[in-house]
Amino acid sequence: MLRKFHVVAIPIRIVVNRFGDHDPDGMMYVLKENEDVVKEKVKLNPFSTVDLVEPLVIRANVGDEIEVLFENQLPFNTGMHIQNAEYDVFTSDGAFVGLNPDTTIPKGKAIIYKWKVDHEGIHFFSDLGNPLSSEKGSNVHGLFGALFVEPRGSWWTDPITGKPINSGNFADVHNPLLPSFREFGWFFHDEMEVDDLTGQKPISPHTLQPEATHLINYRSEPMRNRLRLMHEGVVCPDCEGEEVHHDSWVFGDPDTPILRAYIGDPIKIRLVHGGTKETHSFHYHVHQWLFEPTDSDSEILDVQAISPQTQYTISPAYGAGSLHGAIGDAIIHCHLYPHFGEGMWGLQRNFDTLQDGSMCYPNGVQIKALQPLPDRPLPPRPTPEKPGFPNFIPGIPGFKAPRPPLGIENGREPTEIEQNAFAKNAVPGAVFVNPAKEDTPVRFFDVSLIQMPIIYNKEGWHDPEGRLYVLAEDEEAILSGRKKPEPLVIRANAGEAIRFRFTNKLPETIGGNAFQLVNRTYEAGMHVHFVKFDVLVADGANVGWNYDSSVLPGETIEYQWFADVELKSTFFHDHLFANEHQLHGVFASINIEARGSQYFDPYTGEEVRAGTQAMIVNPIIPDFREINLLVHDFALLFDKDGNPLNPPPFPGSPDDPGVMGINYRSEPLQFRLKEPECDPAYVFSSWVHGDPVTPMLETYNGDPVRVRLIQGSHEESHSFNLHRQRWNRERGDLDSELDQQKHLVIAESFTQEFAIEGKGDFDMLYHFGSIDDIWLGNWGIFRTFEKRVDHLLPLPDRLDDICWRDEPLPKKTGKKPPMAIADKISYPKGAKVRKYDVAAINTKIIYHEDGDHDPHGIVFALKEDVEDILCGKKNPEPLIIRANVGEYVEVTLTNCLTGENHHDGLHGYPEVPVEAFFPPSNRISMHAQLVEYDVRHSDGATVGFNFDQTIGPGESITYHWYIDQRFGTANLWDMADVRNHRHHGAFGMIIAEAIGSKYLDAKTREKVQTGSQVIISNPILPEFREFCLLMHDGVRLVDKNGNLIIDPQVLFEDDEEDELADFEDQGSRGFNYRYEPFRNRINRFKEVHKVFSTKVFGDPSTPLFLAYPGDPITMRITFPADRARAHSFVIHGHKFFRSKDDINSSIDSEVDHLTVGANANMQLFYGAGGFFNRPGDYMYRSGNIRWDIELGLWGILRVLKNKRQKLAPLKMHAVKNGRHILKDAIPKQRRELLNRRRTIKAIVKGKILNEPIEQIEGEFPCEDV
Amino acid sequence: MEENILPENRLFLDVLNKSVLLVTESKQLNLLGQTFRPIFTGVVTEVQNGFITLDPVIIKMHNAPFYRFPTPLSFPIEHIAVFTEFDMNRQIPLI
Amino acid sequence: MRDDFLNQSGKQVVDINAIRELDVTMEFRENVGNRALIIIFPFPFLIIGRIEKVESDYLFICAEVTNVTELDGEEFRVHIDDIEVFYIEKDHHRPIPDIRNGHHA
Repeated sequence: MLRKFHVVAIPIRIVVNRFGDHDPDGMMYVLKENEDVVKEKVKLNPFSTVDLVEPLVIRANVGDEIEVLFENQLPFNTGMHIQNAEYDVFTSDGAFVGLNPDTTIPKGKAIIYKWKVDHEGIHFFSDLGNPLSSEKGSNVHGLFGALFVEPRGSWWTDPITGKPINSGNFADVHNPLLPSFREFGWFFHDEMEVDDLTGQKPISPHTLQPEATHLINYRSEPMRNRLRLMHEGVVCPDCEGEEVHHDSWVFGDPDTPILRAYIGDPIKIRLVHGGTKETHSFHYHVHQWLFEPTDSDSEILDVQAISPQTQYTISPAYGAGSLHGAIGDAIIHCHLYPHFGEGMWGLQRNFDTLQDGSMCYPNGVQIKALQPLPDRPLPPRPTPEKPGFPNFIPGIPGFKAPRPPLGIENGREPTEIEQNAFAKNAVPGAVFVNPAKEDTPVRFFDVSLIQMPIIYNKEGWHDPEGRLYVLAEDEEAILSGRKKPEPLVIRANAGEAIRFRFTNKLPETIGGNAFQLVNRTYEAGMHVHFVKFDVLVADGANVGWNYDSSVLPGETIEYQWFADVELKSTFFHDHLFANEHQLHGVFASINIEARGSQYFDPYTGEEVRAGTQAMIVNPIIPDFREINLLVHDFALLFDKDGNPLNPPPFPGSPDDPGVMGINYRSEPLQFRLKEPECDPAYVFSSWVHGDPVTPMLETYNGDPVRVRLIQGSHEESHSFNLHRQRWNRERGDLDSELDQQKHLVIAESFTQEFAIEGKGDFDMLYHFGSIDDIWLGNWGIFRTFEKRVDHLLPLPDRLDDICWRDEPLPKKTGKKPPMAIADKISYPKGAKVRKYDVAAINTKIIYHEDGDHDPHGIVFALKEDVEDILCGKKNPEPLIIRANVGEYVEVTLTNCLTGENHHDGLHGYPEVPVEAFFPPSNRISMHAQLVEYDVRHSDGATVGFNFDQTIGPGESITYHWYIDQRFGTANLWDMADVRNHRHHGAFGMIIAEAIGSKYLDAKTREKVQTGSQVIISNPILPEFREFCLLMHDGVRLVDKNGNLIIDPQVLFEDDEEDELADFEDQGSRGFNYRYEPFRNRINRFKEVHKVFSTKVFGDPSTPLFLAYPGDPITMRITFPADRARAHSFVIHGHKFFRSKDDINSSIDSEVDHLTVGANANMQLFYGAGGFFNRPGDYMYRSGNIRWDIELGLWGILRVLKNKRQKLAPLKMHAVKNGRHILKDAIPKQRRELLNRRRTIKAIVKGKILNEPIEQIEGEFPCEDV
Repeated sequence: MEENILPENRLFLDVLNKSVLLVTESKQLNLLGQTFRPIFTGVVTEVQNGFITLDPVIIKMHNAPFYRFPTPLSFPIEHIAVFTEFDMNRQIPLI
Repeated sequence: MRDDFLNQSGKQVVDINAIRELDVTMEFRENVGNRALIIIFPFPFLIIGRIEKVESDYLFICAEVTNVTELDGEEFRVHIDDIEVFYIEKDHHRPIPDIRNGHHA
């Protein structure tokens, strides 16, 4: 079917809430048919929100062709670039890239784009005519939208009127063969320059400082406006702020999206990141969903990290209200608390009675009609006795929500109307729904939330106002110091109900120091993820028209959670004053274990009730060791002398204050230099410094392990990396990738499951890989023993496997460890050993042909290339090596460093928090991810009680690896000095290829040892082109005159800020030591749409990948360095499986949240040029408009139309004279974009029944269920 | 119908006109891009020697666990992995 | 009945698995000319179309609709033993909905 849309890009004042916060320079896509009305309405309502002002959502069905007549009314060139769809890059790219024609258009012009869609889901579109990162750019002002593609045969209606619609964020989608569902577009949007009613930058009444605004669907409900109403005494005069920020009783409903449904309605939230910079944390109370909606083995999530220009379909299991049918308001928010506070939240409202428009909310506002879905049972009509949610709740508008009935000790009696709404099996803490049955086993915990000083390390870094959950039975021991404080981790088994008494023992206030102003924090609760609970009374929050399910100091409340299935570690935290005190430690976990499990202390063997480590023992599955790691940023710590560590510019600022920790511990690198050498190569060595204070997991070789990973607070991305051990990305899906790294945002929770591989005793480093994290001490050790030691109990089902150890355990000596020496390696007969001779050298790296360079680059290079690099003949590229599955690899690394660096003690820009003396090491090493090796000599890191695996100048070392699987690409990097080497280029890439593969030069087809662009030839598999990208940031460059380039620099910014950006954004960025910043190409604003054009500015300095139409392509991307900022990666006109080996995986054209240690492998569908194999220039780039693209993170994949000297064709199998030969694969020519289907056979056509569905529905013999 | 059913298939007659939960053998099925584990509930209205038919029939999609399919559905017996008498209104965890 | 199967299968002992498969094949054979909805685990997962004929244990079906637009109109030979779920439209009371674009409500 051909669908036509006429879309206009218009300037529009976007008012984001009823308080008049607005972007006077907003921009949006709108259907032509709505243009006049939207402009008129905005003109008439300059200070109110207008419904039609929302990101444009249009819809089509799988298989449709779409024709968009696009018209531009903005004063610069714009376009619509679509992701995931098939299109002709010459006519419909919506950009001006490389040698392609310009498909952006100036003001007053129009263009036709043609797209074809072949899979369900979100097809994001945005402007690339003006991809500037500043306020001068278009995306930041709202110029984005999406095409939602529905299953074949679908149609869509307005949820209020039931009438068909042509556009709109919310729709009810229907299909003859599938359940109707409620579809909600949810566009995150950040960095929009929002002014307040008066046109000034909004000021927080709490800090009296300017504040940012975070949005959903061009709406924002920040706390600052609501706070003012309280300060003025309009509402809730006795409240503080955060505890009622989401309370509709006090303020009425927010202007941000409210997703309305009846209990059980199927839902698809189309989650889109239309913003430019931040990686957000989408969290949806009460509900869970499959990470891959198309894969029933996929991981269950209730939080999704999302970076700019990426998308996810969130289809909650069991529909609205989840398994247990929880009525009430489930808040949906960005879990990054500063964003949450600055407006990034909305509600999902689950009604239990029919809403036909005749009812009102308690504050008198009409409840708009909500059409029941046609294939769902009709909800009951509200009656005076049973008015339905929210009208049975006895609150008073203008005042805080009432407390729940039954749960609060010595609380009020329920009203009669409330009682009418009770579940039949109501108990305290599960009143209106209670999924537990009479015979459900119950586990009970008595939990207190307390405050006490927490000391993070031996240097005395401490939080004087540490706050944490404790079991009441442990409270005294923890307060008296007999038990060390750690995040509370409790456990329950699947199928159990968990009942709590929760007592708030916190002081009434917090703060009053360099980090925080004094703030009341008089309420607290326990908000939990994943498990099933009654959201009205046990959300541990105060949301919408629900009850306020928290308690005052000294009060006790009962909650009930029900664990329906075995889950991972399940996050819980406070939801009332989270932004104020979660960063002091108010985060915890309940781990839901398999049925029949018991939990024991690994050192005493006693059964445990709580603790971050345990042995989990089960009669059916293997016993395993469990460790919970809760990572934490914005830790507001003071040093031993009481000085604040990394204080913010003013108290209460969300500007990345404080430091970091793991389970309230940290081991900062600056304290692990041993005089006199002060060599960073030994910071991880326990021989020199003793073990770190961070959590240590001890195991025996072969022990099954589950690492339960949670980010407890507060705003940054973290990247968990573990040496040597590997796990499946999605625990339940053996088709998912093999991983050694995991990106985390706050509230995400993952389980890494593996059994310890390796021989002998050894220590494995784990670290959160950004330099910000590791510098501040977010690293630790997993230690494994071959033989039984006194202090560590074996897992009960492995008692017989482990014999006793005679030798004493190693102890700190204060001295450097001896060099690790590999015993003679004996390979199996006939084994293929691939050898690489590599040197680490200091060299100038030229990032751009204009002369921008890193004079102190540190690179790994093949020995044969060293001379050419050092004499300037060859500009170095990152080392990319390959090996086939089943091969052994020997990398002999020689240290040829001269030791030059830009400093000899204090690094400076790009900075880290709490900068300190840290001289560069002249040692070097190479650590490899994902390969198999013996940690004792080939880990490439000097960790714990392992021997030294770094080398000094002039020395060599050989690392021995084995490639056991086709894991794709992995990072290589130096571990001798993560602070001073990595961002200068001390990294590389290793790729595991299929057995029997050869690696050929793309031009000559001669065998090569390295290269970012090669042909992989295999006798059985199709030949393919392999394009490799290492995306990296935190780079320190100088221009051709030697002047330091301080990035991010912003083009055409009028009011330049002198301040450096946040730590995670400091530094330049590159692909393979190259970049192509806009500043090196354009100097006038009106040229901006031409910035990607080769015709105008020549090809970019970044890798130019070449292919012929239809050539199979695998793109590999890694992220070896350096900062905490997560980046997305987008490729134009091509798509791929999110998990390369999983055919049930989602189909994407972007990779999400790349961060230190990440990797991705993209096997492009249909080969070069997409489905139609179109020649042309396809841009690859970061999705972070702010600041990546402008700073140079983009490049071109060029699909050549005709055979050229510079690119050898791929070979294909053929037969000539009865003999097998290889011949050149001829580029395919496909001209038709609108590839019409074969006409359906007439015989079938005549037989198709055309009765409307409605007529026959009444004949169904049974009742709805 | 009943008299023609082989003794080996009589266990299906035991659930004729009763509601059952039925699971077939593959990992997942796919209707127009919507994937689901092959878990069904419904009333057995027909028993043949090679297949049985459920009508009404509910496909237990994880995001729409009570989705009633518009037509009856038949299940070749050789692909049925498990079945049990089951109340179609019961809510069960699916993921 | 048992004898019918024995005759048709040409075997002297009851192979219940073969009988069950044969019975499904016969069901399709008896409904040549009717529309059917077929769900299979292999690609393309769903086929709706008219039953053309049955040859041995293969069903010839002219696909009016599959999950993949480009395959509409193909005459598929489907291995009947791989069919996991099906419905055959035997009268006009319970039709298989037509989901082709432009044909729905």
